[in-house]
Amino acid sequence: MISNNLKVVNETGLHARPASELVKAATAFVSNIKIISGEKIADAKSIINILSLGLKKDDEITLEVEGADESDAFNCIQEMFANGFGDA
Amino acid sequence: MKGSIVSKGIAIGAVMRIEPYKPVGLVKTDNIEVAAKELHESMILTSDEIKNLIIKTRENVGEKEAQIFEAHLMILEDPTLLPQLNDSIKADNISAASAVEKVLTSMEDMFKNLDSDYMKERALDIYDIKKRWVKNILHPGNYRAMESNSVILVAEELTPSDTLEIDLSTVKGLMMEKGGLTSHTAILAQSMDIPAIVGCGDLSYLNQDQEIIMDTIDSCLLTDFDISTRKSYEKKQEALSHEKESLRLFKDKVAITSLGQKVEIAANIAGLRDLEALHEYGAEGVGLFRTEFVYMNRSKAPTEDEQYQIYKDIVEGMDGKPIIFRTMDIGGDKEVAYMNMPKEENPFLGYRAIRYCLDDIDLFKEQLRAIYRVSSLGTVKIMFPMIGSVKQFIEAKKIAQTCIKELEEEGIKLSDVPLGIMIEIPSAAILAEQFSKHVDFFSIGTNDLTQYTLAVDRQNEIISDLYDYFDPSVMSLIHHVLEVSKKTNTWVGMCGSAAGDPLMIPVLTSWGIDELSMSATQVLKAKQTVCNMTNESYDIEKIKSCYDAKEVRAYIESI
Repeated sequence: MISNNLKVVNETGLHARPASELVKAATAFVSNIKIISGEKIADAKSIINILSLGLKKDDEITLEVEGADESDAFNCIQEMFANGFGDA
Repeated sequence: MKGSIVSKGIAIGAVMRIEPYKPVGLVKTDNIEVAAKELHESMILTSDEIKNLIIKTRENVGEKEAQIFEAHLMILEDPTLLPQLNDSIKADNISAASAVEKVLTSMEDMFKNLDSDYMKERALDIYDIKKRWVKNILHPGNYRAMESNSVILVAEELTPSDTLEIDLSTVKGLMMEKGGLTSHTAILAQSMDIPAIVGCGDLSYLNQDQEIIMDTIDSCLLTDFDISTRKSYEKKQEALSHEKESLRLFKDKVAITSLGQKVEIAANIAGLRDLEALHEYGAEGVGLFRTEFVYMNRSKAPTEDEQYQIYKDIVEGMDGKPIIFRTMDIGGDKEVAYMNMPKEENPFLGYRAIRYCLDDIDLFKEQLRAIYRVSSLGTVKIMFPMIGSVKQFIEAKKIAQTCIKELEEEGIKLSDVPLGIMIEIPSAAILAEQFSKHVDFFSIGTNDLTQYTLAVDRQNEIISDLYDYFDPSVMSLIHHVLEVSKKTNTWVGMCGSAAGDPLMIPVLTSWGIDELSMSATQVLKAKQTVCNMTNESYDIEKIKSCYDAKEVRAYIESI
């Protein structure tokens, strides 16, 4: 399992478009991908889960990835967070 | 008529009520397997329906609107959703419709409780899916039929798919009990250019198929009227559409009087998203970019690089048209929490705009540097707000020159940027001639100039009848500034409400103004007003001898 703490950098937080980008990307991997924010744990393949975290700019989350393609999946999603899902 | 007007106009038509969702409640079932099968089939049906809607919307409305339904589809196909629904059927022995209602309602509530307005609005998306799905379980394939060919939609709140499933070509107007100016429906109504009003409160007194007249120009609603009233509204409607048509012709025209005097017609903007309207209405530039909006709704001040990026997008989006940056006008009624400005007794007379910037030089420099960095990408000018003395301008100019020097040393390419001032404090208007020796241009800000000249708080409703830029004293100051500009050859523009007022425009034009900057929607009318001018002249002595603003208006109208 790989895990790391990340920060939301987009101005408007993880609203619908970035959230759906995240879900689309996560769905392409077989690994289990979790986004943990405080006490809430979200499945990154579930748009409902992701949106329900209500992530805003500067919120910190933990990304946890476990499975056959975990390192690829981890790198991909970490990068998406870092570049603000294209709208930072 | 209560509510926020989304778009102005007159609509005559039959009421078409869109009723809110009627809850199914917990309906028990004996056969869990049938319920699960129903659930699965209705999900496929719903998903097909949304997919069709995505295609239809992308073709007929636009990509942005289509994305709303893309999001719906993603929620519907969420891998966690179907298992939850199946569990609910099994655990509670309830029907498919009840399970969908129960699970999606709790999801809706969850979104409503998130502390972000954006997420709260997502609750409406869930509601929309729920409604569609339940309908597909109970009445598969039942679409709404439309009877009349001119209807006014009346609803508590419309969901995006409500508005898209209806044949919009028959919709002439829209009234919503709830909702704000940024709701899906409001945006849609705006792009369809039909009269619309949201947040009206209770509309249950309007019955299905009842004929009504809604007038969002004079803000009134007629439910009981005779044929002659109807006829007079039809005439008004016709005149409006005629006017709209003829105004369109001015989009690419230059505002020029029959004597050949040209006036640049520009728009005021607060950010990138205002550029679309600017180009659509044919504005020739930006006469006022309210940069304080870049500082608002944030947790800390934007850095120089962040500002550079924002300004770069805007200047590039201008397609070479000129843009005047007004450095931040924070304070007064525009509060910015992270700046920790003290609460004041008289904020409009207090620590705001340039008065603040000249103290917080680092913050001021960050903004100026960011603006200078985009100067080579277009035609950029800078003006300072709330300048009351020549000394203040000289101080601000020095800071600007330091920025230029620093940037040049850093090897950044700069273009020449004219430096001007807002004339909004009477002292600056009175001393315009002294200022003209130092500044490159003037922009008269009538909103504050009126409030300060007349000592009338423009936000105080009780004395709002005292606030009028046609007051002889305000007109006299404006005339003085324009005379000085002519004499000293100083470029002069105007931003603020007076600049877009069709009654004021001929006066300003005849007095020799170079530019008028207004809200983008006023641009076409302004161009038309200037183009219709011949050799009108307005006597300032006559205006000064008027008793009040009303008399000034009457004099101007008489010419």
